[in-house]
Amino acid sequence: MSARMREPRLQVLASSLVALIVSALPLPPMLDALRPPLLVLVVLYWSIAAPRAGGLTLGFAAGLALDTFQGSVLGQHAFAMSLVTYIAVREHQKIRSKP
Amino acid sequence: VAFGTPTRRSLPARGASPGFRFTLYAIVSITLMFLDQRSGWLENARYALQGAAYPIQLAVDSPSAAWGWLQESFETRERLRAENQRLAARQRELEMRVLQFEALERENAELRGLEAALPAVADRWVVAEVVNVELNSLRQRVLVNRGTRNGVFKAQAVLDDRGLLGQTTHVGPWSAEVILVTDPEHAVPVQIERTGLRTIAVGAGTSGALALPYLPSNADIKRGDLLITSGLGGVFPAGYPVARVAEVRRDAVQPLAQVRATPLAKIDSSREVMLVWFREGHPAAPVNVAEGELQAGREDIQPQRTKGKPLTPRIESGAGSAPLPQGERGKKEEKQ
Repeated sequence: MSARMREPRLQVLASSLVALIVSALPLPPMLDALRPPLLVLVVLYWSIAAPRAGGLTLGFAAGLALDTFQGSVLGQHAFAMSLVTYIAVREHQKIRSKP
Repeated sequence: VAFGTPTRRSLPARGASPGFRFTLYAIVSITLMFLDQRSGWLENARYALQGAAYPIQLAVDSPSAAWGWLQESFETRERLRAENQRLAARQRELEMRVLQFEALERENAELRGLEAALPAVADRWVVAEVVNVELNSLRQRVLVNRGTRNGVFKAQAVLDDRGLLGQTTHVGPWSAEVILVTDPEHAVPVQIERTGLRTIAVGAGTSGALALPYLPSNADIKRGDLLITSGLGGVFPAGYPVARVAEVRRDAVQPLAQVRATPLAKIDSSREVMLVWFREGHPAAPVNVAEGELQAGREDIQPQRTKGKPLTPRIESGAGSAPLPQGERGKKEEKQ
């Protein structure tokens, strides 16, 4: 990690926003069950690929956004998402080394 | 030396370590959960977040809105004319019914010995458009595009043109979340129109059903009975139609009857809903018992409170205070 790359912050933010919109899109109940939790996946990807661009703050913010959108208890998704991103950020080198 | 180095020293220090940050965020989110659940302290934060989320929600809704607009603008002339004719016919029919209704209202007032008929309990209303829908077995909510900027408050009654739809829960500056009567967390105090029996209708979690879980198996209720709001509970005015009983099952083993009702409002298809302000002090206005935790939080989204003297027209004979609210419901229903 000697070559200092610029952190892809813009991409991180944009993709998270798109994922949030997709996860809030109303779908018929049949498709709704099949909808992947896209925001979690995107946040996970970024915390493994670029753990310093978003990291835990991104996870927490995304969780809070989900809470607002779904009207659940404030902090519920935020807690879960920060836990997931914490594990991903901590283990990102191990995960990345395995194809 | 290489064997001795710890493997988990990955990120060169920039800011706090992930472990520390995680602890911090965990504490913050648990505190948030506690505060949000146990008290109304986070009303302000929610208000701000809902305001921030509204543009995204509009963006989410934009495809279907655009589709609707396209359909509307490519409608053929014949179809528009047909619709116009149908609406005109409907308008005539409604006007006839209003005439009849006014006569009935006068007659009703006369029968009860009042000098003048009572005004309707709904003082004014605002039409709101549904922006986002969430209908699953755990949550039955919709988001509408009116908020505190339009005077919407928390625990406001929401109707559509057929019956009761729900009430507002979280109110933001430009939007409000409506919990539908079919949400499993929602309960409406209702009255069976035929007998006057009061009970509670709980949402069943599907968009077509309410359950009446608190009726004994010998209760006088049958298929086709109309359920109207009873005016208790402090949110809904009395006399609005809610649902029609669809199924009554009496089991000899169980002490309670199992009753299901279908809501009259078009739960899963209404695009436009009405937010209603009721007249303060009207006999059919909700009985104000909503004190306590509902009152916490922001000043401008508090439930409407009934204050001042009840609005009762003078009664000629010495009948004292006649039980007015009971008779109110017939009129309301006629109006719907």
